[in-house]
Amino acid sequence: MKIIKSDGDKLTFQITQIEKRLLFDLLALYPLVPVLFQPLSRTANPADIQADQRLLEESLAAHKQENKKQLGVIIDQINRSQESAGGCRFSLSSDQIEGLLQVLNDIRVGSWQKLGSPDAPQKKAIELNEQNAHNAWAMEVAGLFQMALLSARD
Amino acid sequence: MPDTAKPMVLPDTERDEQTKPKDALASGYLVICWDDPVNLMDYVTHVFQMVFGWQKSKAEYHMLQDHNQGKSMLTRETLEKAEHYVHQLQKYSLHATMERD
Repeated sequence: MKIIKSDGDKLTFQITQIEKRLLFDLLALYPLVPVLFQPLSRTANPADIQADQRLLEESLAAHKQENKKQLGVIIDQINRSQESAGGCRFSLSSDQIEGLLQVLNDIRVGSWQKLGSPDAPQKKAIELNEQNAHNAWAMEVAGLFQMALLSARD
Repeated sequence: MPDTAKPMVLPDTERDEQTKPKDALASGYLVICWDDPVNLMDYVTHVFQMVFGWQKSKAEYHMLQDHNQGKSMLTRETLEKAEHYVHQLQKYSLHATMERD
């Protein structure tokens, strides 16, 4: 996937058929990170921040729902996009790119968690097997699409 | 000639007025981003720019501090603002929390 035009708030990308298939397979996994993935605070007494913690979880849940809705719009846009040699061209606004970055990172972090959080302190390296290979695939491919979007924004 | 008595200066016992701005006194929460091996460095830099409106150089400084020292203290804020920033950072799936200063 590469950027071919930047026009104000919109960026136009060229994507090959294989990349498109990989991207759609990947996006179908969203969301992967549970809403309670990090506490609001590591040192506060949980009883003291119960209401604030619940507010955070509600806010994250609503945000994921909104991202899921926007993701549907993006997938429709790509599906309806202009076909070009070996792939297609589609445009995304800055807000859509921001949402897509969050979705891709959710898939990357969620896949990493499913792999047992390898390389974290006191955790061992990934031991790939038939059951977890697709998580390693998702983590790496999400990272590739994230880098493509970040480079396009620079 | 006799010496004239020198006035004795005693330390005052009254409290000085606080001169710090009100906001600084109320700001007692640190927003901290914790290192993890999964978030891409470029992504973390981008998120700091988006959430705090920082220049790239400042965002990179905090990303590297996070990476090298295990955490980075991003800002010191009031309870409400600190909560707002933690919500924003967690929406990007970063490991962020707020801690009492």
